[in-house]
Amino acid sequence: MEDVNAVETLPVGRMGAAARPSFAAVAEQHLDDVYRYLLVLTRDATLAEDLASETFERALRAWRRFDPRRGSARTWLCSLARNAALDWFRSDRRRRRREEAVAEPEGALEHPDLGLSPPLERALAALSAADREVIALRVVLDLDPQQAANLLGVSATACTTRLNRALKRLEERLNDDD
Amino acid sequence: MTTEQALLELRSLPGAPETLSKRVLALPEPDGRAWSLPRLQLRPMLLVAAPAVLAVAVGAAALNGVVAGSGGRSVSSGGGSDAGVTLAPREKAVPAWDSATTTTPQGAQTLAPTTGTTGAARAQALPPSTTRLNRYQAWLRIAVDRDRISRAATRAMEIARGYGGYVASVDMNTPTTRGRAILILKIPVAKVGDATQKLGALGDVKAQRVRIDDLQRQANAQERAIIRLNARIEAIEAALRGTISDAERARLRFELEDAKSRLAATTRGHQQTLRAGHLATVAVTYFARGAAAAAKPDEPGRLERTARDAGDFLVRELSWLLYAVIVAAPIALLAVAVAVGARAARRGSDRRLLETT
Repeated sequence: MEDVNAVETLPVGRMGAAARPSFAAVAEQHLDDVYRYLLVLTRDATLAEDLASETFERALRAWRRFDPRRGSARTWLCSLARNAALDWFRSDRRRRRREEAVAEPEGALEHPDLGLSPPLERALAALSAADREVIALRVVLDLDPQQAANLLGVSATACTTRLNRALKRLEERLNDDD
Repeated sequence: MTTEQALLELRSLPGAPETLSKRVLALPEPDGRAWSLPRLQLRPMLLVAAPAVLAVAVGAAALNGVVAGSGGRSVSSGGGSDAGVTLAPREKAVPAWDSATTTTPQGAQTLAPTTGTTGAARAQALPPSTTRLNRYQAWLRIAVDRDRISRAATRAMEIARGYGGYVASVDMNTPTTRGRAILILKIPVAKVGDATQKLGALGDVKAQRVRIDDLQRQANAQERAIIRLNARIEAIEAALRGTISDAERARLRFELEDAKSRLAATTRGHQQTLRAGHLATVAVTYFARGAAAAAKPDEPGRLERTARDAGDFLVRELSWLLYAVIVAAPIALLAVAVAVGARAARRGSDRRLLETT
């Protein structure tokens, strides 16, 4: 993600090298946000845990490039988490294709309990990852439209449109479940 | 279950498990922030870079103008004589000759014209060959006081005649502010060196040129042709004295007439060649000193030359810039298009992946 560091830009000098937070402080502050974002996106607690761990390892390696003046640590970590999730989705899709080429596809694996009510978990499962992602960013993490849009690489208007459609579909799934 | 309830439940999602927290918080603290490139912001960068580039371009042009405009162009006339002079920049309107001797492909030697600005400049003579026939030509431009042009012309004629030569032509014109006398003198080649120096001593030599062409080969060819024609004539005349048919006699007489005619023409040509090799042609122009200054009224001053050179350099810079833009713009546009296209493709791929997952 190229633009995520452009959001929540602080005035130059307000957070210079002297005010740079420690990696441990940033990790402790935003670990829950990263985990919950990945949890909603993947609907797999174990996978979210692994991807969150990988996200912070990537953050550790890229820590020198992080500039607090260019964006908040939370959006920077979320962009790393998103890239980690996308990488996993791609490798998972390739793995599925290889397996489908040599054997009958197995039924969908039951994901571990997310800690949500069953109707909501079923409704989330019926949504695409794209819908779940925009809900995670705007609802779970409570990012503003511009921050979420920068993270997704779209305009704020498009981000709001996506959110509305995702919520509408979520509502439809919840109503269907009723 | 309503959407509001669902959203409330989503906002109350549990945080990271203890195992993950321990794993992440156990990560070591990275090293201190290393050096990194400063983030460039386009607008402030342009605000600084554009005037800076403009200042550098104008400064370079001004420097070039100062260096090129004020630099003196000195031309030294060598030749081993004392005619060496250094030209001031203002003299560049006068042809800048040097006295290097050059040899043309036809065997001609040329003493390239020399200009001088001081009274110390004197005519120098390239010595003609003493063993071969030469056509010797010299041109002199000599500055004299305006009221001495007539006297200098008269003295030049006396010099030519004194050395056994003659005056081929004189063209003298002395109006109120400008004056000029052009003399074409024929002087024996053997004496032309001395004569040239004396002609130059009548004023300040501003320019001179000497050209020497070898005529020996031409004269030798003409002599050989004359010998052949004489022999042919004698042979024809001997044949005519014998017993031959009328038709043969008529043919030989016609041939004899032709040979005699060609002999006469060749002999005339040979005499002209010998004359040309014997007498040097010296063209001397005496002109008033004020006329030289008047002849270059538009000679630019130092400031004007500086400004002109700076302007020329600035135009060159602009042409380089235009060339760079013309060459680089398509490449830059292509690179931007590729980058934008790649980013759009990647985002599209990410979106499709998430929508199908």
